[in-house]
Amino acid sequence: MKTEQTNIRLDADLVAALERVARAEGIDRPAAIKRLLELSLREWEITHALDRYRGGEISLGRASEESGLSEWEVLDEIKNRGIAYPLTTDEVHERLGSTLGKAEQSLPDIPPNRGGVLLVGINPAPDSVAAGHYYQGRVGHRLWRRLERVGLLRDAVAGSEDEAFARAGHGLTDLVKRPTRTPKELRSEELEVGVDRLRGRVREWKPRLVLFAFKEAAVRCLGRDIVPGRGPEFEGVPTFLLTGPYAPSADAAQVDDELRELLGIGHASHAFAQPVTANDVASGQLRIPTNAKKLFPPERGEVDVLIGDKRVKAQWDPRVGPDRERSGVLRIGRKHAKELPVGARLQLRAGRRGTIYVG
Amino acid sequence: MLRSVAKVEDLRQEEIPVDATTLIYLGKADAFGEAVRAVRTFVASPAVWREAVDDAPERYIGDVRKIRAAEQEGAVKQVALGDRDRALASTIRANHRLGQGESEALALAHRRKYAIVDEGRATRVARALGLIPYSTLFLPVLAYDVGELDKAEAKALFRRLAVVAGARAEVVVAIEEYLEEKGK
Repeated sequence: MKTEQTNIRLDADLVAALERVARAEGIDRPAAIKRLLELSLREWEITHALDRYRGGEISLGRASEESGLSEWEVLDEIKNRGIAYPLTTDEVHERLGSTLGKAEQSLPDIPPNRGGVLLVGINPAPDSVAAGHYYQGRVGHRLWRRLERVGLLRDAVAGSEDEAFARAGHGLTDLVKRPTRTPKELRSEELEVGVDRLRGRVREWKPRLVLFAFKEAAVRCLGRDIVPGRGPEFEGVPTFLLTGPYAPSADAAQVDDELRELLGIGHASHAFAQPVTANDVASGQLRIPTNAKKLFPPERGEVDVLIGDKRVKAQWDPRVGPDRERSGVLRIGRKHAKELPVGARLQLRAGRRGTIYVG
Repeated sequence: MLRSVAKVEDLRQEEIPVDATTLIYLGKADAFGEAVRAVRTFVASPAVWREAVDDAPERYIGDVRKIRAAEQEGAVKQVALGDRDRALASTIRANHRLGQGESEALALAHRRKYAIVDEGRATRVARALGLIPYSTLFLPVLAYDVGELDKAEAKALFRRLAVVAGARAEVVVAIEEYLEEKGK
């Protein structure tokens, strides 16, 4: 056998332990080192293969091949290490539902490409399953529109938005695959198993971001304290929770901006005016904070503004002074300002051809 | 986009490819006699037979004898791979990080419709190939549903298989509840 010499420095304690092994075995120190190395490497190969199996990277048969153990021994090792038989209650209910003549249908997972976003729901709605596409209920449609605004969805055909989402390299899954009218119908153990299943999916697919569409799924995976926005990592992958479908639009827009920033997909097209004051109403103006000036022209001038359904020719003053920059002023006239709710932070959105939408 | 979840069907006329794990579990649970009432024959590819029988360490010899006996009684049939099966098994193995036995079992199942696999990754691959995969633990349910085993027999067989396989408690409860409810 070909051999090589390797020099390593060892702690004195370790050398003493090696001497004890050598004495007990009646061999010299190099032979003791070699024997222990062989034993450790063998153990490492087994542990490494079983860890890969446990993590879903390889199958049981492949773990047997990689570890050098027979399938019989691998099955014993798996049991000894507390790795359960890979059958979940989800699958059992899925199967047993069909034996009872209730041939259940669900939506298959769509794995993301490497670097894609994985959108995670709770479980499919019956409307979506009937349509054969994700998020086809009322709330689902709102979610797709929102992802379109964020920039994660383009060129989607209504009714099959998931296909456009997948074409963009993103993936879709749910914590539980069993469709129900509301998530409240799901059993607690189904959700627990679903979290484990998602962990495996995330480890296998390695998405760039796990995006939770709804809070229930995020709470199950990340804990009760989770709030919309960026969350803690899940299996080493960043997470993000969207605001709920009925959250105030200002909050939703702010969170969407955070998501865009995180993904680096273009500049925000939303911003907010300063809260409306009685003085603003009296002066017929809106004050525009520095971070919202990007929606307006850099120079003074006339701007088309749509307040609700009223189109207004407003005067825009960015108020960029030589020494300090102040909030810009959008003069819309007292007649229109009187209709603004005092105290509200109005949303501003840049539309086509320079029109600014207010509220 | 839509995936239909498989109906559990009458497999008594089907030759079903299995992976080595199935043979091992059935051998350990001494369950070939009852399990084969759910299917016509369990089909073992060369690699599956090698993994379950030829390569078994000496200490498992008692259970290995049960697999050999099942083959002699016709419950298990060894099947050679054709060129196309061999090529497909090789592709499955390379693309999906499965073992040789699992890959050969799925390649054999590809010409048929069903496979029995007890491995999460192999099950996913089977579905992706358009197959209907069953777990060994479902054999008592299949036999019970077609009237080959009564409730008590099905429950006893399932419990033996669940013990050797190390199934999760909630899975055991779900299947036993099913067997109990269906009998009412």
